[in-house]
Amino acid sequence: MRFYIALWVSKLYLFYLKCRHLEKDDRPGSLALKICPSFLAKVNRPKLLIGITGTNGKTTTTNLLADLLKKLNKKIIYNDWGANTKRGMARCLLEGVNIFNNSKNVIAILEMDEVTCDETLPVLKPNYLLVTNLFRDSMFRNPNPHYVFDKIYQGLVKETTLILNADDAFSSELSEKGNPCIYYGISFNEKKMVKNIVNDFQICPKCQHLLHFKTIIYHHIGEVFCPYCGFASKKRDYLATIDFTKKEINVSYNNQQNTFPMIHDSIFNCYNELLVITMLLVLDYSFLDIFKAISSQTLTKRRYQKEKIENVEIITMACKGFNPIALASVFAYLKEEKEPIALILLLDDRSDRINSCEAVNYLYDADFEFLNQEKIQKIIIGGKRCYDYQYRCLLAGIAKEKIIPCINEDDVINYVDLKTIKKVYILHDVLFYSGANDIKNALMKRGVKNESRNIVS
Amino acid sequence: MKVEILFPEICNMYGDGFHKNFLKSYADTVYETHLEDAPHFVKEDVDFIYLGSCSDYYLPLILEKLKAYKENIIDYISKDKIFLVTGNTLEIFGEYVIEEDKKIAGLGIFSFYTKKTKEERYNYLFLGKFKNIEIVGYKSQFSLLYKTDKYPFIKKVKGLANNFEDNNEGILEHNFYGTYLIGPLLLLNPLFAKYLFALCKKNKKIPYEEEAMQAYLARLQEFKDSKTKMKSNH
Repeated sequence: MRFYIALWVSKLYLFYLKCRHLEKDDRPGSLALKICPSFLAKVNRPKLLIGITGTNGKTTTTNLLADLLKKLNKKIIYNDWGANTKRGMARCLLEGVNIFNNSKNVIAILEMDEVTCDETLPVLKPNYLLVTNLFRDSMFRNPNPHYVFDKIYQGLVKETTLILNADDAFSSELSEKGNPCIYYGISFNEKKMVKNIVNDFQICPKCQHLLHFKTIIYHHIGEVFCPYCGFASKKRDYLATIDFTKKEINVSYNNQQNTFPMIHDSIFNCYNELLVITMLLVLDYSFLDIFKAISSQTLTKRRYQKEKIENVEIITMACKGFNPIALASVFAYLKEEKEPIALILLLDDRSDRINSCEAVNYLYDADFEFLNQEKIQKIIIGGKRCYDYQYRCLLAGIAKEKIIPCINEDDVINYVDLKTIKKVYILHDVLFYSGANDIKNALMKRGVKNESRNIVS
Repeated sequence: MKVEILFPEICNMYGDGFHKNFLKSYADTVYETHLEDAPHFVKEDVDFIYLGSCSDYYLPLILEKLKAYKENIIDYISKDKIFLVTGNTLEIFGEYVIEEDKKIAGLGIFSFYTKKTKEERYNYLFLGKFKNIEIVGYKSQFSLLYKTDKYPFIKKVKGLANNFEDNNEGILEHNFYGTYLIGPLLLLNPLFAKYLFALCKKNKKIPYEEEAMQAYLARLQEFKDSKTKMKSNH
């Protein structure tokens, strides 16, 4: 009875929020769990439940998979606003049942917080668990990569098929639990050996000798082997090659080969897209249907936005706070820029600005060295941590005259000279979307012609 | 100045890996000793050994490796040479570690011991003083140290020290400096870095010293502010 009260009250609450267009809210889930703590175990789940976890790319992958399945005319329930904790999942699954707790004909796509997987996976028993990758993350949130690995490993139930990144030999080790596994990965024509500061998988899990990398795409993502005991990266069932010029992803699987449009040309987003393509192919969607759905797909606006003022592009990109891998991946992307750019960093953690002091250790794990490029003409840093960023940039070899620390975030636009550049990148904390958007709009409003009197050189 | 960095392939968490770059820009020689190598300090003179923090998963491997060199480490410390340990690897130098119902023997070089939990993570800021140097740092750990009175290192001003009752952070014996402070320690504390380097008779400026001091002083001011919560928001 307790469960049904929880179901009805929280459904009513969700209905109220929907009437006010506020449905992207965890509170109905919170309420359901408060009334019935075992709500997640008792609510009937849809026939197909897909979990998505890992350190980076969960939200992007969840959104992408949900969008494509919608285009393929499926009814989806999903927690697309990053609500990946128990209450977010409860809120999501509320929509998958009627008031009698009968499952509706929907597919549930749940982004799952990796650190609570030991509790959520046994309850939800997903049909598929998609694992993007495992890296170090915020030290306060996710102590260390092995800790997170153990949480997922402990939670795995035998009903779940794992879809694993073969190029991440670390998360591929989840296969040791004995679940059915499908592997995806990317092969690069040229031998890539990108050296990041951080590599979280340097010693062999079997014999502890140093691992050898045949290729390194970024950090420990690549093809690896141990010359002592034979440990090696898994064989990819869905193997992609990438054509950055044509913006295409070519996928080989089950003796077939098909080419899909590339949604975004950053490597980490190619991995997200490949994971989604793999899932759809595993679910037996045809190449043509997937192709059509992807053709009109873009990344979510809260994560990436591009606008143009005269001949200058202004791009906002979200970056997960305290996460050195996310930061380094964006820096690696900027490194490949061919045109002169200005970079604005607005990465201070929003909650720490109120009554605490942000831990900055992640700055020393992120490759600011990638920003030491002639094309990157200015690095303007807004916020309380600007002196930490300035010091880190200098240690990366970046010339002092290029680095502009601004304690006050609103001042950053005074240092952007649109006449000398082709692009402005505004990198912002995930929770500072509106602030970054305001700065973008202010730059757009000011424009190129009217700016000379405003620029501080 | 000859520096040896122990196990950089795994002891590199929480920004501690960047100590390697920092030390390289200052020292004449930097050795990187991997788990599969024999350490340099057992066969030649080294002025400064550094061991950083790692995933707790790796601690038994490091303990096993260093057991073979326990006497060499004692000898090295007794010669007043510098040994800097940051983060959780400090645990293995004590008598033992209590983890739930298990008691794991450490190297036993010092008489402190560690109590470790599996689920409770202590996330704190720390402000303290060593000699006349104000030290700032962060703590994120599953462990607390006990019976450390014999080795006072940094006197606590604010935040979490070795444990909730203790007023000292870390372990100091001869020139063995061990602390749970991460940040990374030397990058966040240019004055302490200079102090250590001066012990190796290196008195030159650290790289970008003015900007390092600017960031250090800004942090110091924030830590001293009564509004700053020392327990992390995260």
